[in-house]
Amino acid sequence: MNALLEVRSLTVLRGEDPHITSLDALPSLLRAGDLLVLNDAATFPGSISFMHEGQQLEVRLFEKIPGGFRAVLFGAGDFHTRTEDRPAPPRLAVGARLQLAPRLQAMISDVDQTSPRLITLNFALTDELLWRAVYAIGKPIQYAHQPKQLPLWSVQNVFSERPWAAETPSAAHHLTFERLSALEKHGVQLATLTHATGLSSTGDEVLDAALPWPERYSIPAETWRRVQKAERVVAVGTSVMRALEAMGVLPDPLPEGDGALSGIATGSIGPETKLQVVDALLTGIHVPGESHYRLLGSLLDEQTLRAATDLSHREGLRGHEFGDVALFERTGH
Amino acid sequence: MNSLHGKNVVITGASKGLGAALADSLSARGATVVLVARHEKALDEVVNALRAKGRKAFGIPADVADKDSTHRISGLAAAMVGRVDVLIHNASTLGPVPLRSLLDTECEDLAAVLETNLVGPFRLTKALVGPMALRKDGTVVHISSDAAVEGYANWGAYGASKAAGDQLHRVLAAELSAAGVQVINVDPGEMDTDMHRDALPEADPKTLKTPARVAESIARMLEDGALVSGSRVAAANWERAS
Ligand SMILES: NC(=O)c1ccc[n+]([C@@H]2O[C@H](COP(=O)([O-])OP(=O)(O)OC[C@H]3O[C@@H](n4cnc5c(N)ncnc54)[C@H](OP(=O)(O)O)[C@@H]3O)[C@@H](O)[C@H]2O)c1
Repeated sequence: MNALLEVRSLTVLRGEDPHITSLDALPSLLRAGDLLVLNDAATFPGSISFMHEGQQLEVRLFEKIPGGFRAVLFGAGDFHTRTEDRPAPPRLAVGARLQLAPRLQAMISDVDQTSPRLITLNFALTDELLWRAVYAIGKPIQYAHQPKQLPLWSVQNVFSERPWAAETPSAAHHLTFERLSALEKHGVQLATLTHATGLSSTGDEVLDAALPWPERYSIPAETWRRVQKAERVVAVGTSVMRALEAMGVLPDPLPEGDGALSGIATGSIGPETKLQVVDALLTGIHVPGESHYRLLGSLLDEQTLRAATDLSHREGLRGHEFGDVALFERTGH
Repeated sequence: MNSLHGKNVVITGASKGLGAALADSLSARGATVVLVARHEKALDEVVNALRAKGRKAFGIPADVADKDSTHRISGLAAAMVGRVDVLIHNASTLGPVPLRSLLDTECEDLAAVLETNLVGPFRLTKALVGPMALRKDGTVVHISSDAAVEGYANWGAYGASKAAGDQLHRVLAAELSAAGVQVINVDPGEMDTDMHRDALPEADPKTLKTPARVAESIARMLEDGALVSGSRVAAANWERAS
């Protein structure tokens, strides 16, 4: 997946008609002094299949909290079935115990008011042993559009580090070291932040309508300093955009040295959002109806966005986590 | 001098021998150490002994030869310590013992030695060095052997894996020179460990160094600001006159 394959980029630059380029042309589309911000979250294997009272269930861990994880329960079936088409899981109550593996038991400590599928799991283990257990039995969350089960190997970026992502921050999947160094040679600066990308779909209408959920982020002070100085800030992926816009304006005082700015991105970004930080976004191909598509409305005016969407449809650009990409420079507002 | 204080170090093959000694020497200097080895019980004992001394240590039971363990190791290391500053490839296998000549070596045995000593470390490097390259800071150490450069009879599979490991890391050093990541091949010299006993049971232990002494030399090497990336060095160069 990180091979140097020809990846096409739907490109929208200010003052130009939407057009399609090769991702290898990225350096020529950016300028010296631009800052490319990457999400360095690694993807952890948060999907665990287990038997509960004679039924095969799946739980998707999406957020590490002290002593456990927040998670969504799925009914029978596996990733080959689209989440929307899977049967609902049984209603489980606070206090119920789930035997996730022979030596791994979880206790439900909270069931969310919005949906009984949204639960909090507690484990009688230290964080170290809990992480070990999750990595021993979990699988990365799978996608119905992928014919084969993806190994953990395939859902990482070349610079992934802390395992904060339940689903892979996929906009950077095609950014090989060769492509990153080509950008640096061109004078583009690189910086990272960590954003805990959560689930893309839960199969539950109420829950899906509330996506994206609050997600935590951590921005190294050094990245923020560079953001302040950069000519233009290019977010790689909607998660980076969410984190930078959640931070918004210069916090006062900025932490010294290695300190990081941490917080929770709560808001959803859409046409009504007035962007404060991000000038351009490198992302996947999104289609109307997705929450990511709504976010594009903050960058592009309606007419440009429609023209870009039509072009990508006509040219058959590939959507989903491993498809083509898009570069949108802010045109509107 | 580059201080090891506050640095996060991943050491493979750290449940005994040189790896365990390195975990001790580096954590004594204020580094946080992440130890990798296959056998969980022995590994946890070493980790707990370090903690009992007030050191910061974590354990990851894993086989470096197993591809599916690669991102488990890197993910767990990052979950435990965050950023990884130093990666030490120390886990290694001789292949079947007693050692035998190449004509008597099974093809599968050569492949298995390469998997543990060469391909496994390569995969782990891919998973752990990417963030270092982006940060423009980090160190990779490959524990080599004099069998990588001398043609000792019966050391073919092991020697070839170590020679290939040296070359892999020399090239890595060249590729990462602009990225500020330092890569070093280290010959530890002969040590009194299980591996040495497996290979040469008749050797007199008194003629061998203790792994603790070699680990101290390697710790001083890491603190040496004059270390040249891409070089192949002998740990004995940093030995303190006793
Ligand atoms: N001893 C010498 O005289 C000498 C000379 C030159 C070079 N060296 C090199 O120095 C290094 C350390 O050797 P040593 O003598 O300390 O060896 P050792 O005493 O045999 O210890 C080897 C360590 O590596 C672990 N290990 C082995 N295979 C592994 C695998 N596939 N995945 C993860 N961990 C693994 C072992 O634990 P588990 O079995 O539980 O996995 C153990 O903790 C090696 O690279 C060796 O080639 C040694």
